Amino acid sequence: MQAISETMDHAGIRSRRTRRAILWTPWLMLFPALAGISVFVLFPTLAVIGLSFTHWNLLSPHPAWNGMRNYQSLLSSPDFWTALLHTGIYALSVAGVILPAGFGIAWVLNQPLKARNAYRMIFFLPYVMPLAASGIVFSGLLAPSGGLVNVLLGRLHVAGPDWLGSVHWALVSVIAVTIWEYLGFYMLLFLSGLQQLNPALAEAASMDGAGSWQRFWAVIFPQLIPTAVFAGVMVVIQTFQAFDQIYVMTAGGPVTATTTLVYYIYEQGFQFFDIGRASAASVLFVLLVGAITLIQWRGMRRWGGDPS
Amino acid sequence: MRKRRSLWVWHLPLALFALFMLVPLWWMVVAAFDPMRALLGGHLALWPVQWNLSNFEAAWKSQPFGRYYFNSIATTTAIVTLQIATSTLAAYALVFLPFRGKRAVWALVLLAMMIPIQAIFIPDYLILSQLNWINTYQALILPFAASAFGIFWLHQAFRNVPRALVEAMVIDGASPWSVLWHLVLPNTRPAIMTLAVLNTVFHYGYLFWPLLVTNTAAFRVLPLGLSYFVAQQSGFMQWNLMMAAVLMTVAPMMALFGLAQRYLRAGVMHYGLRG
Repeated sequence: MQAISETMDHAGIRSRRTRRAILWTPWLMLFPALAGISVFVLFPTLAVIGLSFTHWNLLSPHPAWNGMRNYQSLLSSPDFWTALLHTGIYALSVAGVILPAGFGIAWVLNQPLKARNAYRMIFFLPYVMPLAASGIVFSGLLAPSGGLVNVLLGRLHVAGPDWLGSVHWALVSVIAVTIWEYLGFYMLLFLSGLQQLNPALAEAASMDGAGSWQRFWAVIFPQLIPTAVFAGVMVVIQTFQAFDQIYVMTAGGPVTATTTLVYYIYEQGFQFFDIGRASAASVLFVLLVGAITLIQWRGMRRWGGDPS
Repeated sequence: MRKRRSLWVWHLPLALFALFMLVPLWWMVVAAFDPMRALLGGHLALWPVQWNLSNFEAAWKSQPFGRYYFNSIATTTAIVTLQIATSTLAAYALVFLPFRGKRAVWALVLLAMMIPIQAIFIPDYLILSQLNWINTYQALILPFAASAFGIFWLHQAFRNVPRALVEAMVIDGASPWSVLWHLVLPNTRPAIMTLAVLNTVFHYGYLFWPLLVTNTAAFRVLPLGLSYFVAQQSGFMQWNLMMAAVLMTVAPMMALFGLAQRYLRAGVMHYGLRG
């Protein structure tokens, strides 16, 4: 022990040790995070690209090179395009409701209204529900006989459909539960945008004689564009990744009525064990999400937000 | 004053809409406490015939819910703790320490943040099955022990710690570890709490990943247990038992919402700040 402390006291060695510490400490700190991300995100990304050029059903010991054939067969498969179409309808429907509604509610709840905090809490509450739980609750509400929705429709002498069992209504039902779950989240996003508005601009405009409608479109709305773009991209990405609610409510059905891209990948990989095809679909999925994210970053730069 | 009074107009639509949003939750509670009959035969089940705990008993017995609770709480706690630890260290190095290759590391973090797990779950699954880790706690926890989003989030928070304070401590001979522990962490506690709460909500409710890497009841988490409960009853659905099970699953998140909703709300509003 004595020897060690004497060595430590030797100025030259200590400074070398310190220099070594300065060199190594950052990497020591980065190591756990980088190891985790490398093993479970970055390497799998490369692996999924590699697997997408192979044929493999998990039974043969190794994936066999398959060239572009997975992509060719995917792009000529009606099921794949149907899944893509469902993903698009799903994302656009959720976005089409949740963005205007979230903004509208945020606008009202940004006024000096009594009990506005209670309202904010109620609208945000569904966000903490596990999506599987929300999905099951909605399955109950939408049960064809005895479910609250059809009982209410029956009072109005309307025969309600078998919501989750119908190819026409199943996707609508999944859209409804997604909107219910996330509406409060987007309300808070817009609320945060509204609270960053520069009040001086609106005041100046009204001094110049702008009406409240004019003031909104010419002064307030442009300031909210970055928030709106961000929220739009986020809702699209969030719905693109949806799985839990679909799994518990419809399992992709009836037939393929609620099979979205992610659900399609899951089925190809984990039910048909077609790893190559599922990987090719995954690569297309990453490209799609990447393209949307790029649009967001471009948009942020153009409209003056912080892209990082 | 006139403006304030005109705002009263908003209360009617707001209250109606709030009720509308609460209907699914209220229906869940009513069904969970109600004996079966009231839900069939076209009755409007907005109030239970009697408040009864028998549904909870029956649901609890029909599946190993105790085990599910333990699995959910243990894995969520482990994920959140590990993720906060790894992200804190990485974010500290990226914000405060000089080193070569920082830009490359940051680029990798941003790249990783753009890749959803739904696109790479096949190789992830293959890695875990190669390790014989299917049906283990490792398989549920380790893929989320590090998170690009967590690093990104804390990076934003750490940048707001005044550099002068950090430099003063370094000149006084403090090591990076001690600066992190005594200065940076105490000053960024709200951001860390927010990350922890957002993560807890997400991982507690997560069905997709546990579905892939477990297939025995011993390692099932609550959302997965719920989905098995649904499958088990196919044909004749006992909604009352179902809703009792759902309520048991949701209850801890409702409690968390009550305790930590300011962190949750701050977290979501902070997303907006980036916009």
